[in-house]
Amino acid sequence: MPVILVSSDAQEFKVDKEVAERSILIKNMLEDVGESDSPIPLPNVTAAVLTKVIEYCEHHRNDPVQVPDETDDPRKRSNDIEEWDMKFMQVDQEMLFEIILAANYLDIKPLLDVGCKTVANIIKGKTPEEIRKAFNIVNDFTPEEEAQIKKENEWAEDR
Amino acid sequence: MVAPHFSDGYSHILGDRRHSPPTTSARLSFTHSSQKSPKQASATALSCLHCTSPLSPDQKQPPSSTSSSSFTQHRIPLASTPTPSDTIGQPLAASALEPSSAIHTITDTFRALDPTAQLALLTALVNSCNTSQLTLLNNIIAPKLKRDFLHDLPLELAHHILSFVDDPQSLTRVSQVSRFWHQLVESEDWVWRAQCVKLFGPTS
Repeated sequence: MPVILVSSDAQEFKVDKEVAERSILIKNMLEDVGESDSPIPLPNVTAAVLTKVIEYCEHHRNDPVQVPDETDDPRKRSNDIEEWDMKFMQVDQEMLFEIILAANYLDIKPLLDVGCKTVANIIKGKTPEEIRKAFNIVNDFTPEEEAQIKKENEWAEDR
Repeated sequence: MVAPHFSDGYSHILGDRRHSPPTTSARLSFTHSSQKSPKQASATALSCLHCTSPLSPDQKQPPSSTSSSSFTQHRIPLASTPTPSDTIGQPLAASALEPSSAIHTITDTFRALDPTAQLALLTALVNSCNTSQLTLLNNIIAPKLKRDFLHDLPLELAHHILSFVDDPQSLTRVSQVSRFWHQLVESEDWVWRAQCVKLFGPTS
């Protein structure tokens, strides 16, 4: 039976239950409500973002559900974004930002991880100035502070 | 270098004015009192030889009565930074060809439209731009679409992102980006502990 999701801007999306249940939030809501065809309001997600999130959930509808207490080994989870997800994440930063927020709100752990990895990959391998440019960040250190921090971190640059 | 001209609504217009030849005596006195660089000053002084009125930077009297209204309109956007409503009461016929008034008219019209019409107007404007204008637009827009993720996201999500930045060099560079990023990295001693385990083994 399909589930109707309503975005913050009042657009309705009809999706399969198993797709909607990639979101733990929605899964729990459906379990609490029981059999019901009343629409589920998602006041924190706009239609544009919900469209992307549903696209992700459709693609991953048959993935095994991630075990919540799975041991998170940082060394094993860094760069491993599969190809489809990588393409899916080729959006502007505003959309990437919104997807991360929505994945967090809807409790879709794999999507949250892919979003955060995408941001991490933008950061990695860049100099501080390149990072500032990538995210339009203003350098608010005083020249003295900057020199001091640079000095403290020289050990990592020499490696 | 071009983008700063667009940081307010007028500087680029003034820029255009300084480079275009003055067509009325009113505009001459406008240019005269507003120009800044010595080079432009000499250029203006030469042009002003054609003007019969005495020229001084604080000239109050318009050189001729016919140009007085035009003179006033030049001065208004210069003397203050008006909100769009400042120009609403001005006679449209006299100012229709003035760039500053045209900009006010267009931006006022834009704000008054519904979202669908706003998109249509934007699309039409973009489609009427040439390549160099589009490049300029891109330079203005691109930084505005960027996000300081670590600063703008909830703290726990910023920490989650940093957990994927898994080499010491990147982390030390992250700490040099801004004060906020610095505090974020410094506050996460688990990040550093994980790095030490990775570098030196679990016994250290």
